Amino acid sequence: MQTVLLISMMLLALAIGGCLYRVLKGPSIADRIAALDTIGVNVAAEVAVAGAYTRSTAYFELVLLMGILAFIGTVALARYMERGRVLDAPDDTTGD
Amino acid sequence: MLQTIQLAIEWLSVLLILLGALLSVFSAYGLIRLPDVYLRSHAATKSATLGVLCVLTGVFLYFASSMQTASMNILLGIVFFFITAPVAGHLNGRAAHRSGVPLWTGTIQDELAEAAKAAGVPDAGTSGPMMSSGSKPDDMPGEPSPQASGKGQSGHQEPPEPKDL
Repeated sequence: MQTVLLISMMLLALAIGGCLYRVLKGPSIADRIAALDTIGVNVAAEVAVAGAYTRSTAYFELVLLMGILAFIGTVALARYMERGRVLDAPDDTTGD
Repeated sequence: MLQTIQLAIEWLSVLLILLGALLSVFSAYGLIRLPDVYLRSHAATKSATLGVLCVLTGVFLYFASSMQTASMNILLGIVFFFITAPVAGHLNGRAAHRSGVPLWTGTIQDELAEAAKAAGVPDAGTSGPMMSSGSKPDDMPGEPSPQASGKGQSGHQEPPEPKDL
């Protein structure tokens, strides 16, 4: 059982490495954003499997935290790519 | 008897974790191999979300059966990933389309460009300076041979190099 968990952790690390290739290579910013989002999701899964492997619940806050960070980061980067800034000012009249 | 059930649930959860890890690997493979941002986000959102849901469900079952603790963090993480990962993928794809990231040359339909043109919304896919594809949305509907139109586009579009690996 521990062996299967170890194999799962290696597969998730392989997936993170593949996404890292796309982050470094990706022709456009959107490729890098999608790959970074996938990396965040995979890191959360990796932390959860590591918690199951070591039989401790100490790191399970990190799962939720990585999910929130990946989502917020993706939204911020996508908005930055779309309109050049992350937050719209309240008196902004040029926005859509 | 109880021991047997517990062992069966643990093996089930471990196999669920392995399945989720395999789905994540397939998602990374799609992210590497597919030719286009929009096709890549197809791999990056769907199968990665399913993979992480399988992994987290497996970890939740593993802890519930072997240590008799129901981890609320994992449960919240499952719900959160289920909600946010498709939203993030959609936002990224829309931002990519609006900022004029070119489509793959084999693409035969661009409904968002047609809709933006019909609604008069500025969209880089139809009017942006980065893509000189003014005739593309007009050619698309009712085109009898997608191969011919795909070939016709390839002259004036920047292909993202599908075989650059």
